[in-house]
Amino acid sequence: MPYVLEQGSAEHRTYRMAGFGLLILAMVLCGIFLPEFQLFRMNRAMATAVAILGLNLVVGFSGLFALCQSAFIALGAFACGSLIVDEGWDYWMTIPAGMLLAFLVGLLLGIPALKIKGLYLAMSTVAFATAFPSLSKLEFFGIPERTGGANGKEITEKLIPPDWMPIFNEDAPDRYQFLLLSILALFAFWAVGNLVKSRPGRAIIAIRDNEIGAAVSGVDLRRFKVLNFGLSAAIGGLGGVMWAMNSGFVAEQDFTFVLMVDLLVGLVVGGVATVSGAAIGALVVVFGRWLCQTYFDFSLASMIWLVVAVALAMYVSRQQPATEPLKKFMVGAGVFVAAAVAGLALFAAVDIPGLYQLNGDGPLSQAIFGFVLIGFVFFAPQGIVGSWRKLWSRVVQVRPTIPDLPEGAEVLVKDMDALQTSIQSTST
Amino acid sequence: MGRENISHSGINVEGTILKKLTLMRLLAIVFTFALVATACGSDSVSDTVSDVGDAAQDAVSDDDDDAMDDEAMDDEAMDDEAMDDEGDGETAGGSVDEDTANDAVADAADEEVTDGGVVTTSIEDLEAEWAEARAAIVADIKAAGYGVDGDTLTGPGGWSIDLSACPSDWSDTAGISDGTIKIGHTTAQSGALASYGNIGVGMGAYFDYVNENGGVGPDGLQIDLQIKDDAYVATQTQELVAELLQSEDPFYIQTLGSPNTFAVQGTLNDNCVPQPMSMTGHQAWGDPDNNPWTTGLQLSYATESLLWGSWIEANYPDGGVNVAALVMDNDFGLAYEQAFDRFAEESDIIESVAFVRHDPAAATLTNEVTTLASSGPDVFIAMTAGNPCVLAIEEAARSGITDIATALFMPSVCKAVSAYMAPPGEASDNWLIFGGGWKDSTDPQYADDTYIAWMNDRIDDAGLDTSVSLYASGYGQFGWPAVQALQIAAELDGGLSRTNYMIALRALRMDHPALLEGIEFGQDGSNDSYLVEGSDLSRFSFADQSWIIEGGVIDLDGESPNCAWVAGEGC
Amino acid sequence: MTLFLQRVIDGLQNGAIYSVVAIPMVLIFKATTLINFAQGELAMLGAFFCFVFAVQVWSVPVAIAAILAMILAALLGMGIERTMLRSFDPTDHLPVVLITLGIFYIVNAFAGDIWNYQVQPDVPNLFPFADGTTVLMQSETNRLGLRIQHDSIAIILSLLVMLGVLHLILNKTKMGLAFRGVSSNTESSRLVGIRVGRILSFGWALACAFGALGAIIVAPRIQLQPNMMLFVLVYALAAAAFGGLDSVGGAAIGGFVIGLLNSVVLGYVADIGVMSSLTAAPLVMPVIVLLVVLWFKPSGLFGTKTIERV
Repeated sequence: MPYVLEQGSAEHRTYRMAGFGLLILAMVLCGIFLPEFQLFRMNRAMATAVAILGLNLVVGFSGLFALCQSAFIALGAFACGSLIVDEGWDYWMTIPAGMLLAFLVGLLLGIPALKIKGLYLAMSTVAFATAFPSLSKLEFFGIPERTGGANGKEITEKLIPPDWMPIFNEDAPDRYQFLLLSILALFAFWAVGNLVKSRPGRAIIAIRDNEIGAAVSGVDLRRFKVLNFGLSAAIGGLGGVMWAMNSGFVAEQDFTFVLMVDLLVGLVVGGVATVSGAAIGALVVVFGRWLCQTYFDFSLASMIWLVVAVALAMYVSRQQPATEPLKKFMVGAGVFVAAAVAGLALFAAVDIPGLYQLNGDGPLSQAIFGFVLIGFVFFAPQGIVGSWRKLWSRVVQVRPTIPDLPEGAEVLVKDMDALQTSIQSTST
Repeated sequence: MGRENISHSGINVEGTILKKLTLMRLLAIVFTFALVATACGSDSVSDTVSDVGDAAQDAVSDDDDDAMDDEAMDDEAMDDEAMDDEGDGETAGGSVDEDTANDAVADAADEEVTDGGVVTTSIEDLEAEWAEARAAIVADIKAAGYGVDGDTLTGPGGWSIDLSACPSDWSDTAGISDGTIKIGHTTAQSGALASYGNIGVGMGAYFDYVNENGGVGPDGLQIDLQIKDDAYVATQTQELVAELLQSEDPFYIQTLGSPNTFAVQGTLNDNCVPQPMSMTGHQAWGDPDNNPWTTGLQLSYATESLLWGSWIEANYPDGGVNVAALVMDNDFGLAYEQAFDRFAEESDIIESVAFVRHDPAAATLTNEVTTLASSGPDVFIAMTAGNPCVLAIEEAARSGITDIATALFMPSVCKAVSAYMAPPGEASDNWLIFGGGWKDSTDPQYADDTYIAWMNDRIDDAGLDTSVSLYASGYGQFGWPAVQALQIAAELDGGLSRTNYMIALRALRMDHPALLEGIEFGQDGSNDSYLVEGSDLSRFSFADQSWIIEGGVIDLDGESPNCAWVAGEGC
Repeated sequence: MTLFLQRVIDGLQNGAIYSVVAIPMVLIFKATTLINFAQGELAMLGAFFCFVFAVQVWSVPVAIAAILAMILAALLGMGIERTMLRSFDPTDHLPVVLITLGIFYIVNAFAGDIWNYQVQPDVPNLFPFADGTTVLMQSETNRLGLRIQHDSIAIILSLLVMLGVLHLILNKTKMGLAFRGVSSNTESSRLVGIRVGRILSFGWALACAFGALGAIIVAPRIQLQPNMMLFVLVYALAAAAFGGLDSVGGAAIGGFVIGLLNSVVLGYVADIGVMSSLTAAPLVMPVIVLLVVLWFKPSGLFGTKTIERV
């Protein structure tokens, strides 16, 4: 029986504060207890999260299929690197500079996005994102010197804790960087979260849901689309600066199409059109790869078995009635686990020589990543956040209050409760 | 849709705005704090490379003068002019200078390699030779008293490290515990350059063999090789190295790829962790003064470029040579391009060089090679790696370069017969190479070479496909010297430790069984920081499917000055 | 002049390769309105199947090995469509893009693991007789002349034959008619009695079979290795978008146009000193052209315009 909260009530505010407090607590605990190298990875996850946030603005909230976020990250990172090493700027000044540069390029790209739609936009932006790393090696305007060209560029000034913060160790700056990057990330998430709930945000969502309807309702399509593009690019640029702040080394081969795919994966796995989904998705993408590499160590034959197990699970789960998604999931998961256990037992018992895979974990973890991806799309299509919200809504439900009726209006609805239920079942 | 529905959601607007303002203020304060902290906090941790670079340049010139006097030299062409050039800092470190290269190439042309360099000593005799060589090195090191003295590690050739700069929790025997020694290796196992991951697999197979046959050192330490996949992405290498250092703390970490090695070079040197035998031919790894814990292994790309230039000068005495070079647009290809460009500018014989860069991810090289062909080249050089080597051979034939050019060069990294020379078929006939002196394991002329045959058998035993030459690169080229250095270090006073290992590496000088005889495999501290500085000159025979050596081996051992690499400028 | 003609021929050669990979992508789009990012990898797998039959394990004649490979690839494609894609709403692009990306990762990893990411020396060649070069316009001043590779002619001719066969299948057979019906209006087709599921499978089977055939044809040119299609994929995407995602002929033309642009424009740009490094970024041209063309014709040059009714 879900516990119902009225939106805007004191209870609701406490609930939200508690949630926020938990988040802060989790981050503080991470900051204190995680080892340095995991914080390094965590910092990259935060930069990725901010980038995915930007991507979400355009793909999720606006419905425009713009897959060139990796190029904007690259712009931000190159800007940071070049301004610090070549112009002697400070780190904090590169944040607005990187964002501005990415914003301008995003505006530029937003113009074709006005006319190009759907999959065509996807394909042109993919081509752009793939071409971008090679652009940074072109020999005009001294570009390779600024971007490090083919060898990469080390940012000789590292972000280290100042002397008046003795709790941080100068030799291991990852913890300090975690603090700074968390603040930046929180700020970005808060800003975008607010944007989405504001009027411009609603305009953007309206464009996604029904472009013509939005236009008819007075939304200036051109302005919003282009600005949206620019804004998402700027946030991507922020992610790029954060990336450079963390790693202290920018190289063009870090920003290829593979990164773009990671961002897209993070977006969908986290939850399209959810603000917190970006963070979850980033964590999955960054730590998932690491988990696959570190903890999975089995052979090609097992991979084949895994495929069969997954296919079997999907087939069986699809036989279940579609109205009971939980049952579908449980049945599918059950079949998969049973098959996996059977496989493990089989391989433990029988040692087939020659099938043992010796080519390292690289291809293996890539394949597992692919499986996980497909699994997510099947079993959690709204992403983790979307599915979580569904599950959690059975525990705690936030009921939006019905807007006040204008004066003199007559209530023709007989059953207010039914009206309320129907309103909350359609809210996001 | 009425206006009411757009603006609010029926909550207490004023209260919310107040709450939001407080929250905003809070966040603004926190944010400002963060900015201020960032502004105050970002100092230069390490001296910028340029400062150190200047100091190193002077040191390099001094070392060069010493080196020239100390080294016993076969040819006397090392005249004063050349030495003055190096003093100016104009001639780059990381490679020999033009005159030395010229002379070496000319000398080698008069010599011959018997039997194509096939060695038929039994494997037992070879192993006895190696043991003898190791013992000799151990004896030399002990006699010279190299080792840790207080806070300084002293090694051969005036090389030393100040250990007081190492982190407080640094351990000389890190990675050695419970009878195993942990070694880290980052490489590309997925993505476009995934084939290079096979080197690590071959190396692992060799370490397995060593483990089964007594391990390393008098205590029979078992080698535990931990391979990590960075997909050739420099940021990933950083992460993996950080993880290795903080969780596993391996004895040493071996990296693959120039940008990847660059990305972690600082970290590893700051943490006093060896970064030996990096799997890239970039000349920047020969920098024993600034990056004492880092070494390379293979022939440096810069030297190879000079050899090309020298060969051209030797073989086209009439001059007027047009060179066409296909350059892979990444760290690797550009290293070749820079060095060759510098040579060509000074050369009277090379009239013009056309460089065309290609995208490393290009599916075909037709356009690029057509452009090169239109310049009517006399010499064509492929400065590329991997699959593009195959494409380069094919396109050179298709475009007619094979007909009009009189010399076609493959880069040393594309020597493998089965991978690069066999696929293009007849088009690969007569291509030349400065192959870095390695005996390719898939080259049939070495089927009877004891070591190559033995190695292929072991690779086969390990369940690997012997036609994949990268396995052999890992097994022989890189695996063998790794174990030799470990064995030597284990015999030094104090046993196997990082400092002893670095001494052993810096003093290493043995006959590498996969290297042609006559090419020295060795270093000498600050005097000579490159293990391989020689090469063969070979011509591919399609009929024999084999590289036929022309002339003798070119040995430039000790001729390459150290390289203090400055990004954007060079050594 | 000779150089210009040579560049034109180079462009057509490269373009044929891009078209060959773009056409199956368009076929799948026509059938299911989905973009299959895994198309290149499935084609590569088909080429490797042929390799296994003809060279690695058995020694079946190449033509038969190719047919077997096509059948296997078709079955694989059908299997993927049935198990993974059928249950998704085709108007919601994201989940399907993700699934095809997942398949891309998996197939690439599988192939890389089995065949060690190595370039295979013995590539099964459907046209071993097309092994020469015709040299035209050779002269004293121009020793190179105009060189036309026979295998490139073979590739271009095969492409035209493929287009012809596809045209026949799509326009002259019952299956093709049903296919066109489903791709233009799924609901109406269902009402008329067309088994839509069968047609979707058929579309995938056709696309994967032709993809495999295409990979087998171009493998001697771009070398047989697990990463062979990685680099062509983006060009194929650009070609498909350029010509219109639902136009098979458009994809072919798109491929040729991109190939020509790259060879002709980049070829001459390389002579302008400061721009010479542009040769290392050959994707720049297709991106610019794509954006320009799509600006004026948002559904590609030959694609059908979608008209939204309010």
